[in-house]
Amino acid sequence: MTNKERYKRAFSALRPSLQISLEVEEMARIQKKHRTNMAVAAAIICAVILGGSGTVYAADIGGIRQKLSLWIHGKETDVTVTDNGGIGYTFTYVEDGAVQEMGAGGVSIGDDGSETRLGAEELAEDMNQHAQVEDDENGRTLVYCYDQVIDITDHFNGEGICRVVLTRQDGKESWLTVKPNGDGGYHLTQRNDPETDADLYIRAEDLIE
Amino acid sequence: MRQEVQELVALYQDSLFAVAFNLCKNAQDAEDVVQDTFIRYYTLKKEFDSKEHIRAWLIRVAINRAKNVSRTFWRRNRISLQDYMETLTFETEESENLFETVMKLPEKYRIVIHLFYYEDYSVGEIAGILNLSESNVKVRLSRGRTLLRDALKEEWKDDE
Repeated sequence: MTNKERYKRAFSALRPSLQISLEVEEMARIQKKHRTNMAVAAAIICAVILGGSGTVYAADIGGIRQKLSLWIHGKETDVTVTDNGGIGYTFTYVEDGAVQEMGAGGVSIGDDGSETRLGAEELAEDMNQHAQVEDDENGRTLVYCYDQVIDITDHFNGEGICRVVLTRQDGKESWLTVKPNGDGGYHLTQRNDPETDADLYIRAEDLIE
Repeated sequence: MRQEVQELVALYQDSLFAVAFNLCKNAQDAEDVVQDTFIRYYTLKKEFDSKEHIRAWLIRVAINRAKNVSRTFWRRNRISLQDYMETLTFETEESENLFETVMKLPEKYRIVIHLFYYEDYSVGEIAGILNLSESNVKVRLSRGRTLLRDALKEEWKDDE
């Protein structure tokens, strides 16, 4: 018996217990809905955290569609903004020939703790300075920031954390910490200085192919 | 080209489960990986060059998903590898020893060994799936074999 035959015999003991075939379609529907909700929630939280400068514009674009530019998946993309009321906007854009929508919104928090709704341009400006992390079609984990696409799949440490130094659109450095949230997404912390020892961070330029 | 998901499930369910288990060391996590891999195929609507292209893509996605699951803080506390092994039926004691020894190898050797010995992939194909250089795959394969030979003695031949 060859080593391959031995190996296959040993691992033939493994069998999944799950009845996968009956659930694929339903799971796809659930997952799609879930991920859409996750994206909207993340954008809102992101905007709340990032809008702390106290700078507020009085622009009210209620009911009016705006055209803006966003960096999405490493590409500068024209988006149409629809004001949804509340703190939310819908950004509509075309990617790979398909129309996509992304919900986002946020408030800036003044020194006195007062909250002011972010305008679409402010929101877009903030979003352009911040990284997105997604798994691509091959399951690779990619960081998108400005025009950079960085594969961090194999750069999570033993604690399941990946730390990367990015260069933002404004040329400044951002110190990014990525942790899987256990639900198919990622928890991101992006700061202007290292959260911990700077030597623990990988420089993005070393990972860009 | 595309193949029906049901057809792929029948063809590759066991194979994807084995490769995912190889990395996760946990049956429930591996099942989640298999399910997620087929969902990804179903929702992506990606066109493939051939059946072999589909197989390699599914394995690559399962490996990447399994790595993701393995590093998450949200990993469920489930039964240990040892306890799970007691639920498996091995044909021989030799098979059980081999299984246990492989699962104790470092991950970077384990996955290369699995793709070579279980999936019958060549060094070049493994390099493509894992996004490594061929020389890197050769080194990992060689070191993995050495560790298996040292641990299994006469139960692991020098055939390749």
